[in-house]
Amino acid sequence: MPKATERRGLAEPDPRELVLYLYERHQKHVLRLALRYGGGRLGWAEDVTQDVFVSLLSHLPELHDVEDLDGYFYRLTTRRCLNRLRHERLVNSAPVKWLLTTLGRESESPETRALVHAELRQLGLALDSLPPKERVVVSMRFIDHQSQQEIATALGYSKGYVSKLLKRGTVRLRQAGFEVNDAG
Amino acid sequence: MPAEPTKPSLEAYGRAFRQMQIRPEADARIRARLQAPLRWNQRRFLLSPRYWALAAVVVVVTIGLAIPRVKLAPPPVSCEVESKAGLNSYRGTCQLALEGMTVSMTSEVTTLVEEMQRVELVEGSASFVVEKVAVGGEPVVIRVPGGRIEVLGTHFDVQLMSSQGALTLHEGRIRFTSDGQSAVVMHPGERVVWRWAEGDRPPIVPPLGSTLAHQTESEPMLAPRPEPPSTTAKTAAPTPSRATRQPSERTPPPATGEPPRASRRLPQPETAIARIMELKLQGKFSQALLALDKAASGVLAPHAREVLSFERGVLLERIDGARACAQFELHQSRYHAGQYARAADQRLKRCASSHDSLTHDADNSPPLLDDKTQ
Repeated sequence: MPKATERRGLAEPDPRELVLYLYERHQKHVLRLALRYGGGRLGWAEDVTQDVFVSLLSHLPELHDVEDLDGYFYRLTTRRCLNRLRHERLVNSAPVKWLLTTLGRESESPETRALVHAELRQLGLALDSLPPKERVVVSMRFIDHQSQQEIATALGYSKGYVSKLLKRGTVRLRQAGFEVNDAG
Repeated sequence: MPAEPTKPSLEAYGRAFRQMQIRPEADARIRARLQAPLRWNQRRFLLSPRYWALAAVVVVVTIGLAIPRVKLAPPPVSCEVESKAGLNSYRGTCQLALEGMTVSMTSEVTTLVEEMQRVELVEGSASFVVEKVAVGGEPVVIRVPGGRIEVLGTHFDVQLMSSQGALTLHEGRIRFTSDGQSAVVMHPGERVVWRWAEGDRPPIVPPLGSTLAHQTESEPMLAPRPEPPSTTAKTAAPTPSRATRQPSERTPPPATGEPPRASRRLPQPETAIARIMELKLQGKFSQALLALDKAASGVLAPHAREVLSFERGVLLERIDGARACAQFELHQSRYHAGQYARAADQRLKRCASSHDSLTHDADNSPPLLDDKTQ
């Protein structure tokens, strides 16, 4: 199967140019995903966006069709966000905070406060209070309408584990006073 | 009553970020980063096995350079063999691997006779490690001046001096039999000192020296119980000294021509013989035979074995004449010069004359066992 670069008619293009091309096309999508997982922290989402495209540089040879990378960026961004959230949670845990003087968590950006309704921000805070895995799984299921199997495949979990995470997440959100439509 | 406001859905939360865009300064930063020359992906390298292999090599090289090398000098090995008139004289640290045993010389000069099925220590000191003999197998016999050592698999040291020897057992069990037929069964940790007449020595090359002090006492030599052997101390034969003597050392009984006394630890067959006699008087010959076989399977003095061998034939006469004749033949082959030789010979003659009339009256039996085992 010919590689993406060959299919596009580019004879060994500079990978930096190709990544810039992909950045132009997908950076908005990546940023929105990161904002959603990061609870509206714009700086955090921008860092994730940079990470995603920098890592793309080393994965370019593995890509076969650069014109159809929506699913790839969705999975890549979700995994990056999940890793960052887990790392953040570890760093902000009490023992690590006691050992290492870490910076406080970035607060919601002014842009988010201006654009996002107050009630939606409350929902964002409730979502933000979930453990990283539950937050990501709940977002994928109820915002992006991914099936449990698709979530499991994207994150590398079993379907049963995804189901358990979803159940826990929905229970927590309902306890916070938000409706979660299971059928959705 | 005012209606409760509707809670926002998760979908609405997802849509809320659609209008947000990356800030210009962040956009410029990312573009600059993506256009920068390709850098080595340090993080990937740190996670790769190559990183750990390189780290291991660096650690090993560092340790190798940091720690000065200590050269362990090999132990000096010097072994000279001199053969003369069938005797092999070993000088220095020698080790022989013979069939079924390993002999380590522990004195300056050690003289051995090594032949098929025969090892004789003539002079010096040696440590023997004998492989375990299979059940029912013939014990390994090591001749020494004034006696012999029967071994079933063990580790022991022998030190020969001018007119006496010392035998130290480390493992297993051995029987030392002096030329006067007195026997001592030894247990681990025990030491036996024996003497012999000077004329008993084979004509050998005069010793050039001995690591052992000569002892002149006629009574048993008392020496400390040897420590358990260790791999590093195998060549250090214990040297008996008067100042450190302990009452654990034994000497074999003197050879007087009388039946030898069993050693202190030798199982006494009297109890078993009394039981056999009791069963015999009760007419329970089969049970008596079983008790006899059980008693004979243990460690016994040679004379006790002779008594039990003959008594087995007598008991078998009551049970099975053919087996009794076979037992007497076996007895004669083993103890043809023993105290029961004449009686056994008479029984064998009867076996030859009449196979059917071997069941005699008990009055014609040989002397009672208890009379002979005293």
